[in-house]
Amino acid sequence: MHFEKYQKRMLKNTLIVFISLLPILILILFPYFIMLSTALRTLNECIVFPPKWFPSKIIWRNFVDIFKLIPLGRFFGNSFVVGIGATALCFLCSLPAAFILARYQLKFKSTILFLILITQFIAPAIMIIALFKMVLRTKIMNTHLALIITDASFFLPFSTWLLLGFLKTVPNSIFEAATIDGASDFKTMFKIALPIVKPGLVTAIIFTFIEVWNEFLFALIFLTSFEKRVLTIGIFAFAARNKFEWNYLLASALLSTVPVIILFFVLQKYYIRGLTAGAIK
Amino acid sequence: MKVHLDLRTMMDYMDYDVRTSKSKHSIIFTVSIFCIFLWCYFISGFFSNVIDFAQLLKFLLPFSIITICIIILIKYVKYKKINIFSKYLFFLPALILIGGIIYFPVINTILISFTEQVGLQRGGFNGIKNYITIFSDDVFYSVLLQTFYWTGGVLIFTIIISLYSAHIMNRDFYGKKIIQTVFVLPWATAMIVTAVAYKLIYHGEFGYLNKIIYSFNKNFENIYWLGEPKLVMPSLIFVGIMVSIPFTTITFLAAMKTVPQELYESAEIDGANSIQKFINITIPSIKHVTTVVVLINFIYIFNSFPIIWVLTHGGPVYRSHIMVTYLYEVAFTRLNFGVASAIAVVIFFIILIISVTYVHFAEKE
Repeated sequence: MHFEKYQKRMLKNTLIVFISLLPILILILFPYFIMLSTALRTLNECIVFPPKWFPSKIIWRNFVDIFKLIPLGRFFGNSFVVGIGATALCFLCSLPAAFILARYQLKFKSTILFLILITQFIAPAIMIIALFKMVLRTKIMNTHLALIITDASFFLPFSTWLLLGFLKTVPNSIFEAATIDGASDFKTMFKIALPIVKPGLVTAIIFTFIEVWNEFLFALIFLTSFEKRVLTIGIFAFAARNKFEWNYLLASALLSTVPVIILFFVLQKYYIRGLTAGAIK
Repeated sequence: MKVHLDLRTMMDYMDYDVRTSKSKHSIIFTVSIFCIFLWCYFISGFFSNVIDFAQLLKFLLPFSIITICIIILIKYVKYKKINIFSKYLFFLPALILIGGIIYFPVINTILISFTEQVGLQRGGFNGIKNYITIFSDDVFYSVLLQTFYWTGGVLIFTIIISLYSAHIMNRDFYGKKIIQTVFVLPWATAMIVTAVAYKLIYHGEFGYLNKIIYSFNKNFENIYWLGEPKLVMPSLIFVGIMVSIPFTTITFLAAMKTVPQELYESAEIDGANSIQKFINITIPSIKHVTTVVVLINFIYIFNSFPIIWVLTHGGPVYRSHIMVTYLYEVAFTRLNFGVASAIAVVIFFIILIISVTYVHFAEKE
C-alpha cells in the first residue's frame, strides 16, 4: 500500500519534471540534433532553403572524408599532446601546494590562499598581450609547449582548490602518524595522501583535461602554423572565407567532442560530486 | 574557458577575509607580488638572450649568486633546525606558474598600457595617451554598452532559468540520470562547437530558425539574424544563456539538496503552496551559494570570447563587439598593443570594482 503510494508520487513528479523542463531540454538538444543531421548529408543539401530536418540519404562517409581533406588526425594528436601535457603539469604543481596547505597550519596560509583565489578574477583575455610578447621573447611561439604552460597555469588555481577541498577531509592524524614513523613530507604526500584522495584527483584531472581540450583563445594566439593547430581551431579549415563546407565543419566539430564526452560519461559521477562537493557539505 | 571554484572553500575564505582583514596581509601580498614580478622580469630577460654566450655569462652571474645565497640559507636553516623552509618549497612549482603566467602578464599589461606600441617594436613611454585615445573613441563607448547589455542579459536569464530548472529537478522522479546528463552535455562540449551549430541555425540563407518561421508564414523575407544590427545582440545573448545554464543549474541543484526537508514539511502543514515554499524557504537558504554563482557567472560571461568570435567576429560594424573581442581585434588585427593593453586594464578594473561592490553588498546583510 505504502509502496504504491510512493510509486504514484514518483510518477506524478516525473510528469511534472518532464513537462516543465521540456522547452529547456529541447533547446539544449536542438544544436546537437542540427549538428548530427547536417554532418550526415551532402554539401548541396546543406545550402538549400528551406533546409530539411533529416538528410534524404544518410552519408556516413563524411566522417571518413574529413580525415582526408584536412589533417584531422594530426589535430587530434596535437589536442591530446596539449591536453595530457597541460594536465600533467597542472597536477604536478597543484598537488604539493594543496598537500602542504591541508597538512600544516602555516603562517602565510591565508596570504597564499588569497594569491590563488584572486587569480580567478583575472580573465585570460586581459593577459593575452603580455603573454603573446612573453612567448615571442622566450622563442617558444608556435610550439605546443607555450600552450601547455599557459593552459596549465591558468587551470592550476582551480585544481589546487579542488584538491585542497578533498585533502581537508582526510584526518590530520594519519599524516602525523606517518611523520612520527619517519616519513618525509614528500613521502607522505605520495604514499599516503595520493591514494586517499584518488577520487578528488580523478576529478581534478578530468576537469583540467576537458577545459584544456576545449580551450580556444590561447590556441588561437599561440599556434600560427596549420600543422600545429589543435582541434578547436583546426576544424575552422572547413570555414574558409568564401567556402563554408557545413557538412564537413559540423562533422568534425561533432567528432572533436567525442573523446571528451566519452571521458565525461565514464567519470560523470565523480565529476559532478567533486565539483559540487563544497556546496553539498 | 570556465571559471569554476570550490564553492565552500571560497565562501569560507570570503567570510574569513571580511572578518579578519588586516593591513599585514595586504603588505605581504604587495611584497610577494613585487618579488614575483622582479623574478619574472629577470627570467624573461634571461631567455631572450640565451643564444649569445657573453650575455649568457652575464646573466648566469646573478643566478649563481642567488644559488649561493639559497645554499647558505639552507645551511643556516639546517643549523638552526628550522623546518619551515622545506614546507614552503612545496609551493614553488605552483607559485612559479601562477606568478610567471598570471601575475607577471597582468602587471606587464599595465606597464605596456602606458607605452606607445604599434607592431612589435618596443615603444616609448607616452603617459596616459592610450587611455585618452580609447576614452575619446565613440566605438569604445558603444562596445562598453554592448558588454553590459550582453552580460546583464545573459546573467539575468541564466539565473532565472537555472533557479527554475533546479527547483523543478529538486525532487525524486524517474529518469533523473537522463535529465542530468542532458543538462551537463553543453558543459562538456567546447563552446566553439555549440557556436558553430548556432551559426548554421542563425544563417540568413539556409538557417533553421528561418525555416521554422517559414513553416508558419510562407511569404516572409529571409532574416539575417547575425547581420542585422538590431537582432545580432539578442541572438548572441540566447546562445550565451544556453551555454551557461548547465553549470548554474547543477550548482543550484546541489545547493537546494542541502536545504533540510523538515522545513518544507512544516510549511506544507501550515498550508504553503509550491511558490510560497520556493520564495520563503529555498531562496533564503541558498542565498550564500547564489552570491558565489552570480559572481562566477558574471566574470565568466563578461570575458566570454569564443561565442562572439565564432558567430560574428564582432560584426556587423562593431555592433556585436564586447570588450574582450574588441581588445582582441585592436591587438591582433590592428596590432596596436598599447591601446589594447589600456583596454585590458579598463576591463580588469571594471570587473574588480563590480565584483568587490557586489560581494560587499551581498555579504553585508
